[in-house]
Amino acid sequence: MKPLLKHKLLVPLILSLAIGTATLILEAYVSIVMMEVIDSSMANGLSGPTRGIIMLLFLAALQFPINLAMTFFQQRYREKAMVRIKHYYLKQVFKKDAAAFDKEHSTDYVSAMTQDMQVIETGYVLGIFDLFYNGIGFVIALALIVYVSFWLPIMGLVLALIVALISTIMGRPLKALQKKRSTLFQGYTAYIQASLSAFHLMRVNHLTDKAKADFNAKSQAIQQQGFLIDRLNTYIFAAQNMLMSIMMIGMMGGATYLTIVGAMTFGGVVLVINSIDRIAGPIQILGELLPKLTGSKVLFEKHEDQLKKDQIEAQADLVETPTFDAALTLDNITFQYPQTHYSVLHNTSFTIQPGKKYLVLGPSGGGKSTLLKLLRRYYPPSEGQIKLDGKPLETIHPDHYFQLIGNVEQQVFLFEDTLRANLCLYKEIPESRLMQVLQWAGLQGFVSNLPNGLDTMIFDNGKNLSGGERSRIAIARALLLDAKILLLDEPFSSLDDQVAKQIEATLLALEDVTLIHVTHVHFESHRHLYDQVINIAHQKISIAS
Amino acid sequence: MKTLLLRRKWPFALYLFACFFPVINQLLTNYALSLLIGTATSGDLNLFWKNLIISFSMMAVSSLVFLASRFMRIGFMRDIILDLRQLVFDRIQSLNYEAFASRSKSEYLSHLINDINLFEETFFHRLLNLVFRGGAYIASLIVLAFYSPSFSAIILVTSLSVFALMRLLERKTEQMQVAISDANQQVTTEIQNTFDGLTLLKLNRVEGAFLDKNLNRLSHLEVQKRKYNTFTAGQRFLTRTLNMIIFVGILLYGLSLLDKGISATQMTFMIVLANGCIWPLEQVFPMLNELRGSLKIFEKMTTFDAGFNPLPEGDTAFQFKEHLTLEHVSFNHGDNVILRDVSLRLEPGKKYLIKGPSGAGKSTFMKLISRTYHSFGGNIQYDGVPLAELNGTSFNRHVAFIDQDVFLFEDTLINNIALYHPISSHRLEQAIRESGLEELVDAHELGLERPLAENGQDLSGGQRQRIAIARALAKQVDILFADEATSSLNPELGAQVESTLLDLSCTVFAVSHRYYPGVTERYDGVILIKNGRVQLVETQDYFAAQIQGGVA
Repeated sequence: MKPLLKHKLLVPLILSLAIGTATLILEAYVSIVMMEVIDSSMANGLSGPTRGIIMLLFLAALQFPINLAMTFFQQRYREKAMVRIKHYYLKQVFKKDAAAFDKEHSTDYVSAMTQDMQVIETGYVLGIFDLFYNGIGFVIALALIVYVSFWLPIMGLVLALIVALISTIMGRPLKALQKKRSTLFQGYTAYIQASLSAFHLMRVNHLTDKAKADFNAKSQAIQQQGFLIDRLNTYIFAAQNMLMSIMMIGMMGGATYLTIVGAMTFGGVVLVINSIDRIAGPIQILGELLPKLTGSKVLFEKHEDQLKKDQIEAQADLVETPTFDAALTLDNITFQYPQTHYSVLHNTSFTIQPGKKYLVLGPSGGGKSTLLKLLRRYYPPSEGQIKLDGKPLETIHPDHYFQLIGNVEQQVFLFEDTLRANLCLYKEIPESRLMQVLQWAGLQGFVSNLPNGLDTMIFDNGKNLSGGERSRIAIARALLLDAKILLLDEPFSSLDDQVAKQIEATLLALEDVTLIHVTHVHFESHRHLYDQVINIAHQKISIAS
Repeated sequence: MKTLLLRRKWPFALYLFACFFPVINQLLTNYALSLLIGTATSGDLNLFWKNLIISFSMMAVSSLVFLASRFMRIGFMRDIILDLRQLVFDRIQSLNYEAFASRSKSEYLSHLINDINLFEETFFHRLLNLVFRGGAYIASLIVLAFYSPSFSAIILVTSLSVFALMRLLERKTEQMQVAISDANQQVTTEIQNTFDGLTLLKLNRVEGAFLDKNLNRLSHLEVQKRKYNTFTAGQRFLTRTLNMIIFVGILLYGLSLLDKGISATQMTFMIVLANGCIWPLEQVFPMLNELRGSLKIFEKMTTFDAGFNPLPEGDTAFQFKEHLTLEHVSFNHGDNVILRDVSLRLEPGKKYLIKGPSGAGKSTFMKLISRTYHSFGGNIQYDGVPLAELNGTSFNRHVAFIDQDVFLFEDTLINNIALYHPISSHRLEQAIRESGLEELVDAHELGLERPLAENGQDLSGGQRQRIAIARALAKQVDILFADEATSSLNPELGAQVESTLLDLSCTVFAVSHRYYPGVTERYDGVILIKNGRVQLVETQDYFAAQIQGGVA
């Protein structure tokens, strides 16, 4: 992930640091002018330094636009960096294959995109800027003091090194604590999701108190973890503070001593005072920064690991234009879900021919949905192969394979956009075809009753639509895809018999489309319209009479 | 916010007290420095060594003060944020179903996560700085006044003028901060939805469009943050420039006093104090703005239940021994009329099938009689007691639901059935048997103790539905509300379950489009909903009409 942050990001970063350096130099110059003003007026009274005073005022005014310019580029850098990191993360998640996504918690990803990104932003992205800016500031302030007297800086450097050393040592236990907090946060987010989904259920079964108690426990764990981190930080900061104070008094003492013995001027002492702030400040910030930088490194690593898992293999030699002219065959398939000890399908075979209509029946949990999952490539078969026109599925590029397939699910996914978008899925569909499909799916009545027609917005996964309407949208959607194979998983379970029969008849009349209809419910009157009725039970796929 | 802080009165007082400690440290540091510097022009080495030792001791004290201050603060911060989390969660839990369902879940998620994090980061840091710098300001002015009241007054007036100028920029900061919080929420919602449906998106090959949409949203959010950060930084720089100019004035004043003969220590201390009055201002005001902004976020996440009809709650115990009557009941969803002028009389112990075209209001009807929706017109009464007068707890104990969408906890199978309530093993076995779950129980080596994945992802639709049925059967109730209870089951099992439901002694309201020959006819009546009208029809008559219309 870190290589991302090079190239184009360097330009605004360097520009902002360059301008930042200019502001720091400007500040230093102001100190010098001030020193001269003080010395001159202590020697000659107030009338001496008039020009110096005017110069001071001018420089002060100049600082404003220059600082603004620095911030402009710094923020540009931050913006680009965060956009790049977030984009990268999102794209990587999208590349994961469908099966992997089922297993893992989607809340983990959301947690990463919100929580962890925040830490990375302040600890790493801005951290790098702060590191250099304060480093440069430190060097300039040091140079200024050297200008006035050279042995003071040595003391400053030694102390700076000690502070940095202490910070790094104490950074390690801090890392471990922060990682634990991130994990706790994931659990916390997942729990909130669950309890929100189960709102009505919990309310009616008086589980609200239990929900509150569970939530409180998780919140407490998180807060306590944060507390432990803060506590450790306190010791680190206190140690740094003390060192800083010693250094400050030491340097002031040194400057005063030199003045008494005549090696420095009073103006010089004032300059040293101002510069101490500019040395102490950066050191403190750097001390706090180092643990933050290492802390966010941990997050980077954690996410790299998570993202790498279950990526779709981008193999170069995959078939890009698969055909379906002859057959889609399952050859001696055995399949077992991960972490179970029972094979849902065992050593069974079946052939699907283009353009034919298949009715798939069987007991619940017997393997019908499993067949669909295998055909959708959620999982590879444990044994045996699935071949499309003789080519094994693993050798066919997933995207191109999916282009052949249309799906109708039991749980219809609707996203926050217009009805048209939910139907056409952002593809260009001629209006006439759209109207025809709406008719086939029995949707025109519904659409004409909507005030905005197809442009009506759908919210929150179609909460305001009935089960039947959602089913019909799913069916319309699948038809609009012009796929060669339609995989239907209980498409009619939310529809009235009358409507279901109409739609089924339409689907069965489609030419050039292979239909695989998995269901519990079938209409006797339509049974003969299928080319084959198959039964999946007892680990086998067989043809019913 | 005030109530939250007042609940922990003494820790908060301690916290504020601890926030002042840095002020002591600042005064100590300044005086120590001034002491040393003062000896620079005296030429007295002995005095120098004495003052050096005094300075070092002051620094040691200051370190201890720092430690004490921090420890007094972090415990309080932890506890307040904990309170806040619980407050927001409780607020959500206290919503009635209508109010809850009106917002998307991602909104709630954003409140509980994004907003609290934002608040945690900004509120305490800004408050501490505010108290510290405000305290330092006042302390410095007071000490200055001891040396020269007029000088102190001039400093006061100058710093206040600058403050007034900064006030003008205040409102803009607040607006921007709330805007960012909203944008953050939107982005989180979108991403959440996209991840939830990613599998389906891939299947439908639209993941590209969604990826782009989310990428754009993310970019837009970062742009907003950039503008906000630049604006607040600009505020700070402006103040700093002004103050620099003022400092030059202070320096000149101090030098003029030297001409009149005060000691170098005094001059240094005065300059340093005056400095201490003006420099913190550049941070105090933007911080005040950000603090106000974080309070606005607090408001936003704790007062989102405004504008909804409260769920009426009475204390009459629920009883359903005689009749359930609906009188001129109507229900609207926004501008849509779902039910109009419904009057009906239903009896306990009977089994009612609710039928009607898709979208006609079957689920809505069930939600009304089951006290899920409560904003209806007309009267609904159980044994003459209107819903509004019923005791909610009493009602909920006597009813159970079977829904189309089954929610399963990431817990054991038995907990998902018994829902953490005690249940006799006899009743549990019966429920498992009657819902057809034995096979599922036997399939796993842990049986009932088998853990279910997040929302039961590893189970088929039929298996999940059977768990939902078992859940309802396990609870002994007066009324069972079943919404498409058998739609995911094969015909044999579906008929079996339907038969079980029809054999129960409690009242059953069922929405179902399935027809099981020999079983479905056993319903005592059909509640037919069409075009907003509801009528009770004899089962025979209903099915006779249906058979004429051509059912399978």
